[in-house]
Amino acid sequence: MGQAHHPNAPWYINAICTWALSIVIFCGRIRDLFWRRPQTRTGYADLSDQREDFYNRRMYRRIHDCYNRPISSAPGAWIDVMERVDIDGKAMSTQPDLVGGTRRCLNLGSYNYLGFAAADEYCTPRVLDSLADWGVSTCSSRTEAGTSAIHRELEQLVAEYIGQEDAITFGMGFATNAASIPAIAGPGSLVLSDALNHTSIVAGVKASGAKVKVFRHNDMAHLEKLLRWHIAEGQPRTHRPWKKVIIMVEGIYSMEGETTLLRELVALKRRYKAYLYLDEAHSIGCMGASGRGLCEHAGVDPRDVDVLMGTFTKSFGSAGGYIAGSKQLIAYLRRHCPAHLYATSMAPGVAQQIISAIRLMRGEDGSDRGARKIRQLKDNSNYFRRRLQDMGLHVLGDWDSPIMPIMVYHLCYISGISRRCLQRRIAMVVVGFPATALLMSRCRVCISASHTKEDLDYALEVIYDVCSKMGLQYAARQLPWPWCWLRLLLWPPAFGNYRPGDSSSSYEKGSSKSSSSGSSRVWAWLGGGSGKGVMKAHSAAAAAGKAQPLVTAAA
Amino acid sequence: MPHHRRLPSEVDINKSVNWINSPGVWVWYISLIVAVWLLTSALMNDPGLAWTYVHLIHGVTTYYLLHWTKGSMSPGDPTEQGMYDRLTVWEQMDSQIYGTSNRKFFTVVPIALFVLATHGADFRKQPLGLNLVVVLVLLIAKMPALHKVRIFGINQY
Repeated sequence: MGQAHHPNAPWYINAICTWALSIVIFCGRIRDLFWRRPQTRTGYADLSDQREDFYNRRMYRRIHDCYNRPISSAPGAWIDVMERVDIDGKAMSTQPDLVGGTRRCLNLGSYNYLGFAAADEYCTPRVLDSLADWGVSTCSSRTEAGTSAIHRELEQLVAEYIGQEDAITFGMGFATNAASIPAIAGPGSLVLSDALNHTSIVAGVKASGAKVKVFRHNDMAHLEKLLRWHIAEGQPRTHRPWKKVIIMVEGIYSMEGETTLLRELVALKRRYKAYLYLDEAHSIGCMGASGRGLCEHAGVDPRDVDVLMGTFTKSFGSAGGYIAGSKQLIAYLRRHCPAHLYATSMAPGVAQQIISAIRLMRGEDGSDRGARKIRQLKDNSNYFRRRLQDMGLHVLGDWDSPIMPIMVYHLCYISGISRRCLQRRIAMVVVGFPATALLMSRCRVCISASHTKEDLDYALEVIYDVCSKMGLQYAARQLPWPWCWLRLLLWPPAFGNYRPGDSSSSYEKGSSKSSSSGSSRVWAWLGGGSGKGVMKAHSAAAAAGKAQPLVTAAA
Repeated sequence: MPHHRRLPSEVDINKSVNWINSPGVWVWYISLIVAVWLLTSALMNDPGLAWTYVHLIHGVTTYYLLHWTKGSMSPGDPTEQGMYDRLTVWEQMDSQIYGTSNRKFFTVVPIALFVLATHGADFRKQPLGLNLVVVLVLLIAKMPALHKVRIFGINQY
């Protein structure tokens, strides 16, 4: 399916956001002049420079109850968020204290694409058996005493599943990139990296000493221009040819939900004799008809991609990362990658979870639960994305991708959205500066195969309510000025496209929504919030969320 | 070396300054100046002389924000690792390339304010001298020849 458009905020939204930010920063600066905390240890240098630390102290800390929320259950479709003291806008240097209770919330924040985060009837017993057989930790690195039959089985299985010759696995996903890229690229290499690549790739490339050139996100014309120019120029100053040229992209970008243009990349790399490094952290397991990642989804032979990297944390409910490639590459990495040589190897239980999950996805447990999981994930994602777009929200990402960033643009809004959603039992991640650009804050939804349609509908109700009240419906049809402002004054935002009771769904069965009464439907159409009848059904769902079975039978 | 480069255009990955390229930021900047002018001319009787005050306030503020404060807005960011700690905001803008439309805009604004201030003060000698000093300091600070130059080591660290 085609690439989603990349919406930018219209100019007046940016101007208003910059105004609000300048007021916040101005007030922060005034506070810094008069109400600065005195030095606690005289004679010692500050741990962080007061001027550099401004964003952290005066902006991030004021809303830090929206981040680092502790949970106390497995991150399945519903999650227990621990309740904390209300910080009431005060900037604190310590985390707020726990109050003692937990709040059962719909989990839209975990990377639980295939639903393996909760206990599974096939995987969990096998993991527990492996604990009894192999113990909890290997207590060694791979080269010393940490390689076991489980690791060999895992690597072989991963290589077969991906469609490459061989694979190597590591205990940590971030370290897979940060430690392998320096082994692959080095001084004298040229790395062409997408503008929105993850920090682990940037850290690895910086550590390698290779020369980096950044190309505009998913812009193949820019990449080709850079390739032509820099291959022709050669290394800086000496103009010698580059030792190797590597193009680094991600399968799905976690802040955009977009896939990369894999076919064009493979064509480019063949033409200019460059290597291609594909980081499939978010796309392995959830893209493609059988979950084999972006290569399957885009119709590209996996052997055309030189280095296929991925992690097991997202779709397989486990931990760690892998690199799959030719036998030569993997043998080289086994001798040269510090994460393999020195870091403790993957714990046996962790490896067994991945093995069981992959076997389940391939149907080796004798049922079709694996295929059903992927279908459920795709259906859930497309349904949710279409409903969000019908609401008039700016949603990034491609169809079939389970990540949906809803654009907020305004940095000052994200705390309000986060708190309101938590109060309505939706655990959604909000992202601001510096994880995103300053004027491109967003809240991100991660859909799971274990979400039921009732869960998704409840989430859509709450999101519609919160977003319409905060005026986030940037894509909806607007009245010409000045009637749009007049309408905003008289009654809350109302948009003809969307009624909370609708379900324009891709599900064959009829929707399970309860019908609201006539007057509440009119009020709902005006955007005044969902009718009481609809809310009752979903508070029932929320209460039912408390009684989620440990083992998810359906998905 | 001042960089009027003709390489394929760079992507600005400097999060502290690439928001300046977003649409609508110039509108914010102009509206901020106009708002300050409205405020000052409400507080004093002479709106023409208010332009002088606006010009001086603008000069001091932009000198401090653009040419004095250094470093990144997110200092703990591992992708930057202190690359921009010695660079002022003006130097960091547009991937340290001069001659972009952004830079031209920020150069024209003090000149326009200077013209408004001198006209508003009816070209009297005293405000003219002060305005002239301010605009010259700002223009010299924005020249590509002064990229990463610290006179007498002031503000180097």
